[in-house]
Amino acid sequence: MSLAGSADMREAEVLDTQLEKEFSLGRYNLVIDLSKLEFMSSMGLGSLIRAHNRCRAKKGRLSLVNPQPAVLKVIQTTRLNELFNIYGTLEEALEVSKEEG
Amino acid sequence: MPLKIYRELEIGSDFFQAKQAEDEIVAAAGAYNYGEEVIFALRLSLEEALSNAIRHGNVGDADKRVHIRYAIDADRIDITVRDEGGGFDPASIPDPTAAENLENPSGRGIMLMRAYMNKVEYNPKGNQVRLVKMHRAG
Repeated sequence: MSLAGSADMREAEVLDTQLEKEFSLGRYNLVIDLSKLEFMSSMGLGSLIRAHNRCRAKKGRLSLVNPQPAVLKVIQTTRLNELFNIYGTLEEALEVSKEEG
Repeated sequence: MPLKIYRELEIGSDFFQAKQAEDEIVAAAGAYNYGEEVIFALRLSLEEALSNAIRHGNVGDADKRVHIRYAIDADRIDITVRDEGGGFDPASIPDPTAAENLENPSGRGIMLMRAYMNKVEYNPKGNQVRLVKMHRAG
């Protein structure tokens, strides 16, 4: 899936709903393209952390792809780069997902 | 552009109104040639302060208001956000960057404000936060 615009206090709920849809379909290996996401606040981060935790609980994997520099800085400032699987390209993320089965 | 903008406003405990206030303040700062990084820092910190005021301070109570005061000139952006809740102790929030807290979906707002603003000050009661961002050359 792809995020665009903002993952902020108004959009975090929309993100949660999108993610819930994936989980309801039994999908716990998720690759999220962040290349068009221009802004992320702690509420957006919270949605991603909850998704990461859900995926992990089901032995799945959440991968984030190509965050813009300002968004990556928020992730790094909060040290969530140590939690999230972040990749520069979709191909990289899919390759790792495939390897890890 | 004016030498200084000063405004006080009041919103309900509502994310839509909070976004409108945020957009107003970001637009006002935009008139003073603050760069992209400062504008991002401002937007992020406002987002954190306002969402904290609504969710934690006012506990989403529709009868409680959020009071915002901002002053912007060419040198600094100075914002105060006050909720009508009982207050809290900011020092009681655990470090969200500690390894044992990384999987906690909340608790990062104050840390982000401190990382992105030059000054973050709470009043003794803990229901008001002041954010200051200085204008840096380049």
